[in-house]
Amino acid sequence: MYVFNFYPTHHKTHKSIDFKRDVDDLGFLRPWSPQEESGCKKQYETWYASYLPIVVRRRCRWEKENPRRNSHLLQRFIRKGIPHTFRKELWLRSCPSRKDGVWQRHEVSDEIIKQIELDLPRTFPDNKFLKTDSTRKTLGRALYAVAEHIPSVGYCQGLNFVAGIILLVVNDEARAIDLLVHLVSQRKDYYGENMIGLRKDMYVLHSLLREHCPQIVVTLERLDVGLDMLVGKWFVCWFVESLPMETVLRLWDCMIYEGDEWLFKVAVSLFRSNMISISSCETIEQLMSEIQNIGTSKAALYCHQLILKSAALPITNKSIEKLRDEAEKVIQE
Amino acid sequence: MAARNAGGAARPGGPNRTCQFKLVLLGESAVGKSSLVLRFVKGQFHEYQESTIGAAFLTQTVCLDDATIKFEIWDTAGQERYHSLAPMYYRGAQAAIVVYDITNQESFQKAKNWVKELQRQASPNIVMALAGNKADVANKRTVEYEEANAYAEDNALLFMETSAKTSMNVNDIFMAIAKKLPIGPAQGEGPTGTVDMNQPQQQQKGSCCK
Repeated sequence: MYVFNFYPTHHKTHKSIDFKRDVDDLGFLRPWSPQEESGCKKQYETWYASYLPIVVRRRCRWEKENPRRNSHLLQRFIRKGIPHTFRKELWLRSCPSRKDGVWQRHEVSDEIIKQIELDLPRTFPDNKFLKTDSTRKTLGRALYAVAEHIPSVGYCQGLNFVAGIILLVVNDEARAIDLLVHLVSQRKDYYGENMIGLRKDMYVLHSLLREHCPQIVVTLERLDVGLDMLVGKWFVCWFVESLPMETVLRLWDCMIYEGDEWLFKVAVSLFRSNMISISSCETIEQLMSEIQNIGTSKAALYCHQLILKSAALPITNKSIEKLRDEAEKVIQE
Repeated sequence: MAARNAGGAARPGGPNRTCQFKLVLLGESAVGKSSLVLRFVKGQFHEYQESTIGAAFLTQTVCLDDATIKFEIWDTAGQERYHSLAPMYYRGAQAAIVVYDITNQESFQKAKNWVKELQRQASPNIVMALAGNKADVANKRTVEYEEANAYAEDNALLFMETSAKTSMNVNDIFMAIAKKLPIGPAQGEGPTGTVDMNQPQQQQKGSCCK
């Protein structure tokens, strides 16, 4: 599926994106051809013209105020976007190091190694950095580390995309692997044998939608479609490949610092922004196409507005945990 | 509802009829499920097709002499742990393609398990096909044609060896399924969930219709 994986370069001196380059700083291909004056390029340029001043302003504020000294201030700053230069530092802020022996090592079966190897060339196959032999091996080591330290997970498809983004952003093998293992260890039941965490969270999302946009739930029931069929990937891959890259990173900023409630906040926001078109769907085909279009919708591209809107939703870590407990009971029955 | 019935009754078996069918692809990871769909729907092939997470949804239309068949295709994730989500995809499906890789004996065993599960759990009228994919690398074959063919015959499955890479038998297997689907007027509103629609507009723009 096509989304704006193109990641804008936020160097201080750049006043605009160099649209002539065919790959971005993270190695993703430009989603439009260089000659063509495509609609998507225009849409992207218009968005970026409005976003760049925000990026520049945030970066100045980060440098001037050093928000790290106060956790409330830091949360506010992170929600407004971590400047690219500080992203690695902030993502790794409370991430333990494997060197300190936090995680035990376990044996990894040949079957799991085989599954990982199969997926290495199938992870962002067009990404300039990830398609080389040496980075594919790095990706393999990262996924192996998850299997080695979290035996209940082993390898779950989807983690390859998560690991790929972490490697590209952190750009330091040892620390990228630390972060991957750390983040997956917080979501073990998501990626385990029966993916119970995902099923629970689909129940949670269903409850939230019933509360925040009931028309969507009515539509899903009318068309007899489960949420996991529509948006399972959003939650397994933390929106990678489902939303534009900058939006994904802004969401990850919040999720890594605060928690999983951010996946729900953004999911509900997106459903709300597209509520009319989704709830007027008459067929599954129309519905699937609306869901796929969310990734290129204005709501998804204008990440700053999306994050601020999502922040305002009354969805908290506490309310998610309560719904997850409820889900556990329902699923067990 | 009444209008739809009238449309079907006015021209039973008429050339303008479009029938929609839900088709699901199942099979082990990396056997080429997404590649088969991509070849069938878009005529494309990528040497390295991204792993499918959850499932992907695509549609494609094929024309038979007396009707147009629109496939609503659910292309599922192959990894074993996604298995617990599979029933949602094959529930109510009128057709299924179970895919294995002819160079991978294990994937054939896994395909047999899928067939068993569908026989037990899916709709009893489901049209099932078995696709032995990657036929272009027959020199690395570990699953013999005869073996798979015999298995398919025993289980009343359509069977073809396919190659998403060369496009060998890709359209053919979907066509073969289309021909076996219940498009007679009697089943039009039947329990299989077939939807009859009188949509001349759609047929005009359908590029697959010769």
